Amino acid sequence: MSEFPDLDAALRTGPPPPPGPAIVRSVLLRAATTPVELGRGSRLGRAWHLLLAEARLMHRAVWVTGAAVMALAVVIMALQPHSIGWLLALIAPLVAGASVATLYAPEHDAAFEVVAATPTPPRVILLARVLLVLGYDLLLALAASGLSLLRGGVPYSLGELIGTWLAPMTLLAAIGLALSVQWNPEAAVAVSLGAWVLYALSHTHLLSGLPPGWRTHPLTYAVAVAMLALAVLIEPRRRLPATHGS
Amino acid sequence: METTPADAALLAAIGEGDTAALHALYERYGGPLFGFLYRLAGDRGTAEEILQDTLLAVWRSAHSFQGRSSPSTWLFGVARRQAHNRLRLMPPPVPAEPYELADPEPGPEEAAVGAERVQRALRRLPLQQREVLALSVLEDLSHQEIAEILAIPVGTVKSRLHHARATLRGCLDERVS
Repeated sequence: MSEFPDLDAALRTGPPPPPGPAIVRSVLLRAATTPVELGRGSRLGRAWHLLLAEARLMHRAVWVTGAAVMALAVVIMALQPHSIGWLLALIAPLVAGASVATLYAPEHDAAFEVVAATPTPPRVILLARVLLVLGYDLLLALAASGLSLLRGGVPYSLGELIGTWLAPMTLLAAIGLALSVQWNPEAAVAVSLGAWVLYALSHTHLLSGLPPGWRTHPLTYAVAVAMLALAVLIEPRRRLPATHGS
Repeated sequence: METTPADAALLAAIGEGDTAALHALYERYGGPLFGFLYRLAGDRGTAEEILQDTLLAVWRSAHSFQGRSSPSTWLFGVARRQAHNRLRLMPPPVPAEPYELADPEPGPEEAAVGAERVQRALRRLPLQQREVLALSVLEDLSHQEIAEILAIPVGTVKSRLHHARATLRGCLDERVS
């Protein structure tokens, strides 16, 4: 029940009658004579606006959870310096794998259908989201690495520390995205988590026989990049047919 | 506005390029969409331009409608997006002082809440509050439906609606007094 019934009554009156059916003919003419607009400004400007728009659409939990987990890791490393060598190597891939696995979920995305009604190709939107989330997780991990070295006396250089987490992080993110796109986000999270557990165990004597390629190795990067590229190139076309009518 | 299975069939037909279906859809939804856009834009000319943009977007993207939301929710979502695209490029209306708009000697008829007076006061609201108010009052949509169209939580719909009504009431009372 409205608190202002007279206001609502006044709001209901007043809109003039809509234009006649001729507007539909104008629209059809416009559709036939104008190409689909891809936006104004330079390519770089359009890409920047797209990234900003996607960042606003994505769930806040993606940003907050990653930052919170990484902040916790920094605190632990500050309190227990001996954990620096392995903690980031475990946490950074976990954060990236989980967040990338959940970024493509049309079934749970309230804005999906409206976004699909724009002329921006779905695979560009997916690529923008991957760049945003992976870039954000990368920055968090870099910041955590830098902060952990501030106290001094750490037997690692920054490059060595980055080398402990970069390859598994990229590979887990690629696995999460590929499964999320081809299967579903829940399964992607579950498999990514399973892969991460295997990876974590490979740091212990329980699973020390895992191939070195799983850790930092050029092959790991190559596989990860190939999986990311395939996920972005193959999927969205399957669910969203091409635009018509122009 | 209540949607029917026929609405989804219309969108499917539009998705296949059926121009008669677009005419039929406009006949059914032209009034509510235009009313909503008129309240958002504040003037007839701009509302007509956004309505054209909306119909063009519907024509070009009806194939992507998959029935996860109701047809009317989808249509209002598209209209709202087109409105934002166009209105964000326009300078916001300068909020006028109440005494500038009021007649020098208001009579009893001016004291009543008139439609024109409401429309002018509406233009002083932020776009986010205007759209919630228009969808709720003009289209009689439920809070849940509005939340789906705007992709925001139901609680946010309620709070924006409350603030919009209170601000509008304040503007009108200010001018009457």
